[in-house]
Amino acid sequence: MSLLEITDLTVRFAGRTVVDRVSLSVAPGDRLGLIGSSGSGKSLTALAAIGLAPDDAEVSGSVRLDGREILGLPDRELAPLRGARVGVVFQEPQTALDPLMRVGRQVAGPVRRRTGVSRTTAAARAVALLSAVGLPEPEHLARAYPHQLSGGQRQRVGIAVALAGDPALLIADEPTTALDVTVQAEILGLLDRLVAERGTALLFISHDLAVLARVARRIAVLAEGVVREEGEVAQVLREPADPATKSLLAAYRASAWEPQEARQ
Amino acid sequence: MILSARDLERRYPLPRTRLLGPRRYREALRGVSLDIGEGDGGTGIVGESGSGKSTLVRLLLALDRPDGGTLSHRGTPVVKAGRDFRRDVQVVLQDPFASLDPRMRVGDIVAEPLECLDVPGDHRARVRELLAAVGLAPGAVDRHPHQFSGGQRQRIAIARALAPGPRVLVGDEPLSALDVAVRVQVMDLLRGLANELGLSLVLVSHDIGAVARLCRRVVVLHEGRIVECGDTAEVLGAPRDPYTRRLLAAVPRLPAAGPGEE
Repeated sequence: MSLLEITDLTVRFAGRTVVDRVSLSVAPGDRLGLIGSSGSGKSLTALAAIGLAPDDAEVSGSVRLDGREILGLPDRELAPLRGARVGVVFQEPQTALDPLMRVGRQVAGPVRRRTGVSRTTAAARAVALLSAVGLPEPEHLARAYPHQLSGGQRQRVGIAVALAGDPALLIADEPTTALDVTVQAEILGLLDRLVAERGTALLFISHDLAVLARVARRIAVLAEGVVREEGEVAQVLREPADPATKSLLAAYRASAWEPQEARQ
Repeated sequence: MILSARDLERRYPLPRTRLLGPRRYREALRGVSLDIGEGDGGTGIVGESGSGKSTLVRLLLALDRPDGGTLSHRGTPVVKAGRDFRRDVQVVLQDPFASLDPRMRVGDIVAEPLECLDVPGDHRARVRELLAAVGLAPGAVDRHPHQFSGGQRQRIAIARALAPGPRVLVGDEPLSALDVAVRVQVMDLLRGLANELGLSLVLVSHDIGAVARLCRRVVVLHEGRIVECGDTAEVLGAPRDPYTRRLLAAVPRLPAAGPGEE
């Protein structure tokens, strides 16, 4: 059974259809990448699926998590699912974290909500999570505020928060777009390792084909709110069928740097 | 040389850790020398956050003064940038949504440097010519920035930068806010303009692909120093400095997609 089953998801803003009958499914342990240019509806698809679409959006269709319909559920019923079943890593680690709360507490929060352990145990697990995401001196760092960390460190904290409730699905919405390339490489390696170790399913959203290919196994190409092509990453890259995929590949080839080409 | 930077140094004061403790500084730039010549085929300045590239851009544009070293413009040390300097050296910034005044019409935006810098000639004709050069319809003059897409706004910003007929065009991450397909178009536009007008492009970017395509020479900045500098193909093909190697290794790439390869 699918962990997440999205069927005919449609999102409208003021009469304009931004996501148009999107159907996608993510099995346990699966890794699906959503790609598209800006305005293709990729982020909105993922956010609407977990009830995080803006209030003025009209959302219809069906989203099943663990077989249970969750579209249209009130927030008080969705909230326990977020964190515990689905964790989200956002693009901007700066805005995703609470600037007034020490990072240790931000990680400990979902741990407590999920497991109901004592404050002290939760704090210890938070430190273990901060260490698992590769932060140096996690005991010391747990007492820091977000502004005291670098962008890469903040995104590591964001990943720790998303994983704190031990979710079955991790949604990562352009998690490395705001980061330097060397930091991006580290964060992608980290995500790759963590979801493999924990058997977490991954829904990874990106506009960057090469970044997506690094972590996803399957790829879904969105353009103007419609899924234009879906398949195994290697297969789609080898034989792109849809013009939208071809144009993404062409843009990549025309702008990316390939070392082979530089050496010749 | 149009611009010649010698041993530029810039440091910023850090917040005091103790009330009466000594003032401490962060060395943003530590002795950077760089020459930008007439029609030199483009210089890419590559580096990550904290490398000092933004500081270097501000100094090269004379928007900030170095704590050490000098910047010379056509042989004369720059103390305060005057009209001659501003006509000669222009900039395109990263965010086309923030760099254009939303209340101004595109025609006025592009004409502004012509007026500020007292450029002689028919300004309206010059604006039409510039809009055509960046691939925008003449009707754009009467419209406002919000009526344009990100790529089109970047074209407007390029037209404005080219208005006074500069010889050096500094691009501070001019492509990184754009979508991939649009990025390719703006990259092609910059390359075409640089060739056609014999402009010396100074491209500050973390985008190795853009630098490889637009610049004959590359400068790698790390922790305020130039760690490697040379012909772009040579540096990218056979990096000598360990940091350059680390940077290039981190650039995400698609797996080789030939049949039978995995």
